[in-house]
Amino acid sequence: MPLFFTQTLAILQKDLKTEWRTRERLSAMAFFAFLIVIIFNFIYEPGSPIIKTVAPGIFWIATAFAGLLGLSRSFAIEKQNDCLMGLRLTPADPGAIFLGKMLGNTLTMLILQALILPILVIFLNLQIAQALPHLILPILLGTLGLATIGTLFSAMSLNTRLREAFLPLLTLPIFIPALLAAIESFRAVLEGSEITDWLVLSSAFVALYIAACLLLFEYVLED
Amino acid sequence: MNTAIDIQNTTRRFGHITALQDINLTVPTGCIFTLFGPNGAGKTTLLRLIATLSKPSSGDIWISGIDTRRNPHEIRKNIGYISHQTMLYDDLTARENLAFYGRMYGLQNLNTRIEKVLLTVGLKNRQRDRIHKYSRGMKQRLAIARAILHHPSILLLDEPFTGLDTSAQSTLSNIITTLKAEGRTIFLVTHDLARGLALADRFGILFQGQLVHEASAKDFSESDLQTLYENKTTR
Amino acid sequence: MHQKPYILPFIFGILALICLTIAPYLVFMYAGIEKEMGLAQKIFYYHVPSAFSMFLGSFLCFIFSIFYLWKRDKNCDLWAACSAEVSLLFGTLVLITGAIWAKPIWGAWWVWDAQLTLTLILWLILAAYHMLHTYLEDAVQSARFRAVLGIIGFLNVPFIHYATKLWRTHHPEVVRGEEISLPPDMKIVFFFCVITFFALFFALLFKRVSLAKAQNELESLKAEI
Repeated sequence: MPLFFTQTLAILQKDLKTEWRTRERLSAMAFFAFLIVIIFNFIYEPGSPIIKTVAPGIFWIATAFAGLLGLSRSFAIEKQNDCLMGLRLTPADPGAIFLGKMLGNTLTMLILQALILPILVIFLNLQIAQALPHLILPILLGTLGLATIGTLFSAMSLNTRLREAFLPLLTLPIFIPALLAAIESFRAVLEGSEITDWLVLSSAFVALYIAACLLLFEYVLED
Repeated sequence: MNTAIDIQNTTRRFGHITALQDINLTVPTGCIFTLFGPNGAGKTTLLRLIATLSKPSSGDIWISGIDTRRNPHEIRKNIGYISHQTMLYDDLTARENLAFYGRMYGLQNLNTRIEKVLLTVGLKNRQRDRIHKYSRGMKQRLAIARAILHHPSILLLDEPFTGLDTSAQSTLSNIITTLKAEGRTIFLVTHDLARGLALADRFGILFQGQLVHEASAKDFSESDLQTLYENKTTR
Repeated sequence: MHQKPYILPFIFGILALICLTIAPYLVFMYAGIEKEMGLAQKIFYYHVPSAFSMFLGSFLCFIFSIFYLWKRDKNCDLWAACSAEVSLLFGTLVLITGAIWAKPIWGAWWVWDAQLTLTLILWLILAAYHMLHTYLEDAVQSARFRAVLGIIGFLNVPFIHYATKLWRTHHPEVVRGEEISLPPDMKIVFFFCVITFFALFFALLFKRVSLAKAQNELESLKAEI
């Protein structure tokens, strides 16, 4: 296996292992996402039919906000004991570090979403059983998009004042097109309409930004 | 004699502040070089330049004959770095930490290598413990294991004695002497004059970004160094 | 040594001043009144050129950001930051004039028109870019991060464009401004206004850059003392 992928995999496994051992990040994210779903519910009349049309939005707002909470911790782990310096001392490709971190964040957020969906089903009385297989691809693409930009900016916000406050300010504006695609395709799947256009948009988004981040990550790590 | 570290006319600026000014220094292979200096003299900045973590604003640094600007990746394979920060993950075990770094370096026969370095630093029986349970001294020993895992020919030590108790300090001194016996070059940064001098073959004093003194450590007593250090670091 | 940076803003400043004096005359006296929208359509001559200037600024920021990462020339960073700042200013103009236009035509200050939404999102990115500057302490690092954001942000424009377009076509209930083909008199005035706004854009940009350079010089003099 080429060294690039060995390094990517090493980072990914390391992150998942630490996450699994502490479960700090994921439990905070899941609780926050749960709160968002509950609070959004109060905006509407109980049992109002409008809930069904806004459910995809609630799902993605919960994912994005709770995801950002987790993303802000992503590089904070590397800051402890100055591990980031240890990583930079190795001949590792900055792109491999980025990719490993990004995939770790994607997986964490996918687990988070697997927890949010049942909450939506229960509290908003959403029926998604038949639509579920068609939901997987748009959700995956949207999550990859969020993880890509979020990982880049998470590394950037590490050295700023107001670290946690800063990440959403950078990530959300850039994420808007992919977020729009994610919400709209979720809704379209529920309504049974066509989502090809949105999938094209989000795959292009993911592909371009992964490529850009692989190239640019070097400049973010540099000192 | 071969040159391990060759620093030529190197200046490093941060914005409008000059951290290092016109440094010229060569360290021969297999030598222990100790750099003294007060806080903020630019010692860590110099180490980071040698480790290719940052680039000089002007001047050149050659490590074992390789230009740091041209081929930093090649140099990183040859450098071990120990600072007072461990650069280790608290939630992983000692073994997992080393395995992780070993894969980042792309090492072959990783398991046997890990066994060997764990033996060197005397942590073999605790290798399966998560290191947040470790004492400061044990963590520092594991940090040494991390730094020598990939057989670096040059070791950079940034205040390695800070925060260690006396017994851990002498353990560390012993390890450093052993590493020198293996033919490695060691660049030590400290403000512990006694310990730094005892280990050194050569030493230098850095003050306000300039190398104000450089000499052989042979026939140099601690009190001589004390006087010299005070003379050189006051203005 | 300061000859050049002071002369360019002067030339463009004079040009912008002259054009800005002539423009209202052309807009209100020369160009005809649009049949459907009436006088409200006049703001189009300021709204659209402002948008052009905004995109020009973001594009310049993108180009200078790439050059900064490539050449590590401090001036490239300076130009990128200044372009983004002037671009943010014109973006604000676009949003304000858009709201003024929308009120009489559609009866609301803000309709989620695709073009305006694109402007709004780009404006948000530019604002984030501007804030990044204030949150970072290390000058060199902040320049690098800014350049990364400048590139990432501009790459987003086609995605926002496509996404807002798709989004609006999926929700056709809001009235959309149909494509207008301009009669010749309006076209001339429009092009004149575009030139006017580009002159204003460059005047502000050059002025901002020379100001930033002076600021830098002051900082390094302060550091010397």
